[in-house]
Amino acid sequence: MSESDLRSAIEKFAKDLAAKAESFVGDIATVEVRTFTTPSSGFTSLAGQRLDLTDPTALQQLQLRAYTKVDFDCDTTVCIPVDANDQIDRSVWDMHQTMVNQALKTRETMLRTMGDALSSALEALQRVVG
Amino acid sequence: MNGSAFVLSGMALPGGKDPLGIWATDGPAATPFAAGQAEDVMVWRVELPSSGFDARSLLGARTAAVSARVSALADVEARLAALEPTAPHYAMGETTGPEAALMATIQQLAMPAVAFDTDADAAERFRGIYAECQALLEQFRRLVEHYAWVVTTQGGIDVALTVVAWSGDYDTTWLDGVTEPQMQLHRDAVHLALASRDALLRLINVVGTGALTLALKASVPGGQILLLPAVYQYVRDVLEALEQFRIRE
Repeated sequence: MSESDLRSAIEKFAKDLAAKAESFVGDIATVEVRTFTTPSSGFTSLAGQRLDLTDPTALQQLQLRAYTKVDFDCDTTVCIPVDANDQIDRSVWDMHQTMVNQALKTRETMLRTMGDALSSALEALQRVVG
Repeated sequence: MNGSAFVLSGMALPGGKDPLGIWATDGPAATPFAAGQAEDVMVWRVELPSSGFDARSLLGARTAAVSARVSALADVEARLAALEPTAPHYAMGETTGPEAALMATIQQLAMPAVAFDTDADAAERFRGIYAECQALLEQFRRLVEHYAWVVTTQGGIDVALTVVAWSGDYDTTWLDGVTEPQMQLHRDAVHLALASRDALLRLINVVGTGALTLALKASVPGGQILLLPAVYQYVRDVLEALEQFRIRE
């Protein structure tokens, strides 16, 4: 391990972060929240894999029950869960709503974190390069 | 699986330990990820007992611990900002604890050729901390960029899984028939995982900013890069000391 290794690591980190920041504005323009249910307790086998909704095997295990998309200007698209009688399924809807609120808070936190990180990284990069 | 109720997988933290002491770690090599996917996700696994009371207590204690560490980080940041490496009492060695160790390192770094040529142990130790710092930078990038998977199990049964994209998208899968108390446990588990992620990011920011500030004050050759390992060690030492103090209180 040498100083140049760490210098390279900082430079790579700052550059990666800057590149990520470019796409960040686009990424956070919308927040999508999906709620699924599944009949089997098999999350361990899913953990660590991408949730590919075009994968028929994954879809066999999961049932999409509710969906919300919130644009940056607060335009909202919502798919509401209904039960067998076409009534709103309150239990699913309530837990979906909770996750929507949590997702919006997460986005707010990530915005702040990214701002702090970018500021620190750029300052560090200036020192390293300088 | 290491038996702990709170396990973080897919993230190689320096020294194999969560510097905040909240999560047990299970390195990437030990996770059952498919090839090519281990780089993309971190799994925060919350394993809770069947008893709802015990489960809530465990989660509440961990969440409180994260809040305590975040408060402690604010203290650490203030202590770092107040350090004056060139002040006479530091130069005279009239200080103790983590500050003394950090100041000793700064003085050592001020004349690296002399110090490391004559102290092989110090050089070796420093190389080790260097490696940890490089790993920390890499993990910062991973924390910001990659998906967080939060799995809640109660009594050995998977109750819910939430996948959080770094942009804030949420995909949550609930076990059919999940109860309201179980939903609350999972929501709290997701909150704990994300709060822990934010606290880790904050820690790394404190280390980076502290190293930069000290480098400017001490005029250390090599600047912030050389000071990153020492400041990382300092932050860990102060957090540990504050935690010990909190436990005694």
